[in-house]
Amino acid sequence: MPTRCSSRPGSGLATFGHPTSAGVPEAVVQHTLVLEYNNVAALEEAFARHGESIACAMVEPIAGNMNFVRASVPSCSACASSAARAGALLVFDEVMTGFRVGLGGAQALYARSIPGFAPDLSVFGKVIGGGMPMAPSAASAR
Amino acid sequence: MEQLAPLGPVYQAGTLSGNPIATACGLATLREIARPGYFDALAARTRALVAGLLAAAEAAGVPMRGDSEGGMFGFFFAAPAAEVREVMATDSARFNRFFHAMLERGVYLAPALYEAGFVSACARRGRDRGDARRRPGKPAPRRLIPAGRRQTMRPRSPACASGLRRRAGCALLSLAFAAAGSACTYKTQDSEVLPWLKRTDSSTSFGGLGGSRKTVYSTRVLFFFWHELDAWAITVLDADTVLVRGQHGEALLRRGETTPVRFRRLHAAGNASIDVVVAAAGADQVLLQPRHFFYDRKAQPYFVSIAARAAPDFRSPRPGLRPDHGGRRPNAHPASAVAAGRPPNDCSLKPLWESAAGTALLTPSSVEREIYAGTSPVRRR
Repeated sequence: MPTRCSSRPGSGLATFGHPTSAGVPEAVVQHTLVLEYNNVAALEEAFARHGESIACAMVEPIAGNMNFVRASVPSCSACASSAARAGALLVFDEVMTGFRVGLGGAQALYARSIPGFAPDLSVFGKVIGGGMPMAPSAASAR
Repeated sequence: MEQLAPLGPVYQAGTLSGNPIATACGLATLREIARPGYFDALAARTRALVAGLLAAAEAAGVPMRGDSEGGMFGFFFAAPAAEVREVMATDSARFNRFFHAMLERGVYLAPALYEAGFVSACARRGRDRGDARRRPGKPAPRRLIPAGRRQTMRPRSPACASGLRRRAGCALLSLAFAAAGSACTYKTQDSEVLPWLKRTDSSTSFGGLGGSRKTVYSTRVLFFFWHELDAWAITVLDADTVLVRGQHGEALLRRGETTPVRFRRLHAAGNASIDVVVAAAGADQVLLQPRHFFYDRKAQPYFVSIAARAAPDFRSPRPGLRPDHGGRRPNAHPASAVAAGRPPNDCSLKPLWESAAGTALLTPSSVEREIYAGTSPVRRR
């Protein structure tokens, strides 16, 4: 099973210090690498070690589950380039940021700083339903 | 995305997937936030809130760091240049005290240090209304964070929403979820389809939770008098003619007219199919001037007549222009025409019929008038 490389802590991690929430099976956890947010060195090391088996790198561009922490431009850039080099997908978790930080989501902000920046997959929620439960995922046709 | 169902093998579906209410809600929200200047105003409000928090903290000598983007914000009790690691080790005891102190003053923050905050688009800057508690003569305390429930940023209620009347819906952003039942907006928007035809979209929205939408088309009668049409959709055929779709089917409407008239489909051979309404899809399928000529999907020509107008004499094409089958009967004509003693027609001879249409249809006949007399104009409202 391919490995996900996640640099996105959830509230569970931040609040309780668990790498995941109780109830998530070990089998799932072991296929996920959790990295420190904005730690470019750790990210590059993870890709150097496990690059071939990494399916995707998931990042919350502005981590709203640990208050309000922006992914640094270098770390976003490194995520995109490392993922592209390893043939992995870059997944932007815009559940919280989508349509809140701007019409184009957080990815539009990063695209201003990083030329040609675009995640392969994006997931949205919350605002897109206008208060109703709804969660789309988006990807380019490519 | 092609890997996902229904295109691909990855099953992705659910009972509420694409739920109509949720999607209507989402669409209303997206429309609202796509308005020009929306995010500028929202970001300015959020920045003002964070700046106020930081200024208050600084005035009190409390180390605090805050940031915002769009309508999203956060703050820590930490030094301004804190790294992520330090942020995660921030002073939670202080946050807890702050949370409860704010709650006592009527401000309900997210009850955890690790939650981001959101400012509603409907929020506005509170006013210092602490007069009641202030003794006369004593200057008002400088409140950067307004104290008291009535002074906090709150969703607009209908009473204060007169300026919002023309808004499609109040976008609910997190904090403002409480506004769900309070903001009811009604909006109409006119758009000119043609100088003499307008479209009016009206929508009623209940706090961004959906509502009803209605589209009404009207045609100009005099200067600024408009007549409402019973139409669902309009296809502009040319500057003076539109194709109207309503509950009576398709109809033509011309400049200056208030009553659209129905199409009737008449077979080229002359057997009028009275109750068949032409399914004309657009300008390319309807030849308007000087007569109305229509080809259906099988390239069979039909003359399209218009009620209350001089009807084309479709039954008597010029002698010599009748199709000659040479003894064959391609595209055998409907039995009714044959039974009526009319010659079968090869409807595939499009050029022939086009040329026939040019002259033979000029003369209206009383017979056709009778046929057309049954057409009902689109009712007035």
